[in-house]
Amino acid sequence: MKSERLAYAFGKINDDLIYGAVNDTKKKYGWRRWIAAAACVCLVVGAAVALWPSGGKETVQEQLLAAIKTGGTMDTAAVETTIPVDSRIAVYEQIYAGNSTGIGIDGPESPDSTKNLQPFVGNIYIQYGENIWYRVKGMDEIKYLISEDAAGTLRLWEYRSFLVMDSILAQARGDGATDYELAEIEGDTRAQFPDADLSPYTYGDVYRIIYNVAGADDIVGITAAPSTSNNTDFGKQIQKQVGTHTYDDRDSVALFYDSTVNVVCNSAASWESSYSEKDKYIYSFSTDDDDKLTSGEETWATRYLTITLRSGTTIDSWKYTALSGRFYEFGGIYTEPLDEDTVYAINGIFGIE
Amino acid sequence: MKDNEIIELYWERNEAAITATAEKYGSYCHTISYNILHSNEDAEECVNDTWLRAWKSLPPQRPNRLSTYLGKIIRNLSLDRFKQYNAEKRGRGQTGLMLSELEDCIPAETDVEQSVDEMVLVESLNQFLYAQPEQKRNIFIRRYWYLYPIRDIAEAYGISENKTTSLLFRMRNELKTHLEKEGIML
Repeated sequence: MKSERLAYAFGKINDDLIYGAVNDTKKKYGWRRWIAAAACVCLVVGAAVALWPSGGKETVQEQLLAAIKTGGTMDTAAVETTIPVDSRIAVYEQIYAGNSTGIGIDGPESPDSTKNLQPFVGNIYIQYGENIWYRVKGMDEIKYLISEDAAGTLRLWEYRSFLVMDSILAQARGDGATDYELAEIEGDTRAQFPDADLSPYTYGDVYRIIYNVAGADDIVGITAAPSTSNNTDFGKQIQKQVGTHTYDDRDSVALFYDSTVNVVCNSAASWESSYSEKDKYIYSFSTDDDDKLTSGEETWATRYLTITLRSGTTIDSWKYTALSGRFYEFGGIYTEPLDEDTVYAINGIFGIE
Repeated sequence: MKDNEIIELYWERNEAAITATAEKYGSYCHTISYNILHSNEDAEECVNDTWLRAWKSLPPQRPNRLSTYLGKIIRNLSLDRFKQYNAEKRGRGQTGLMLSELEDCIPAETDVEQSVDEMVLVESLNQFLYAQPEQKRNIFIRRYWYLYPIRDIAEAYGISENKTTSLLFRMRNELKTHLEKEGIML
């Protein structure tokens, strides 16, 4: 087939063309994504919570994920949007039932997704742009929101982060933006979100705004699993050795809450230091050369965390690395490094020595 | 870890090379494959096959840019798999769309020419792309090299989907004219 021949030949074009094509928007257009995503008036309609008596054992989160999973495996669509939440601008990412059988079913927009989400549409959270945003029925937290567009298509979104001006600028600076471009980015972002708080936030803000967590008492337990990034035999052996453990004694939970509530997320400093090789290995457990960790050591010092709340909803985006002594989330959101005492306290909980 | 350090690990036959590659380029390669196959499982298999190909080809190869080196491998592997599925009538989505869009670029047939060598075709594509303004060029490559959906491209550049579609349409016609001028037959 001629078009196939052309498609294969296209695959062999020069490397700099291929590389350049996906490394241009961060520098020049990255900030526009936020602007484009939020080009309209917003109007908070109401935020009353409908309580859904939980009959069975399944939590609302489990029911929700099970319902949209019917088409296949869970996946994220790599589509992000921004909506005003509290005094801030929150970034949400679309999630959908990916397609486990292969080609042919385009998950995010399939008619099934609207049908499957319908029973979970709760009260209106906000009307923003061309979408109406609903809470998930029976879920107090706004970890998930459901959007409805003008055509009535429902989409499920999961909270990722809050927009932070310093971080946007630090990223642009890292990508080589000039002072003029930086000023332009800052001006446009401010103009788009004139009243929003775009300062760095603490995880306490996320606990409070997104997850309704006011204190350690709202957390039932923390489950720590080994990092799965190293799947060599050696890596798997270490994963097995680390194992998955749940920590639900009140002391560990309180210590964890106290250590995380004031941690600063997504600031310029956290963004810049996440790219610094030196900071990455500040608490290296390497026996010899700091800069050359074996992959096993990295697995040993990293935990994927699931924080279970009283309602059964979980915070499952967090990872902890003892190497640089900090938390990070999907989407490259790093916290600022913790102080030394806190690092050793948390290592104590998770048994990282 | 820097690319040259990772390549060094390959040359030392150190298995940590694979881990380092997976950490740095796992999601990049997965995205390319997923855009073609629309299946996480298939993409995952292609990613693993890509690491294997890299392990077998480095050395003797020492690529300047590891990302595109791996990208080219996985794009080929994924297209091969797509072809196989398509033959089994299981293929749809972006890749089918991409192929039907590329039909627009195919020069009209004449009696004289023989179909060209792939190297000549690739060189002509390079020429065409370098002659384009940067943004148009990148949009074209995002669509036909990375197979990104129109919606994602529009969003990345802060332009409407309609504008993206019509820009691509015009560029396909330009490419067709370019290939015809060069006397290239497919």
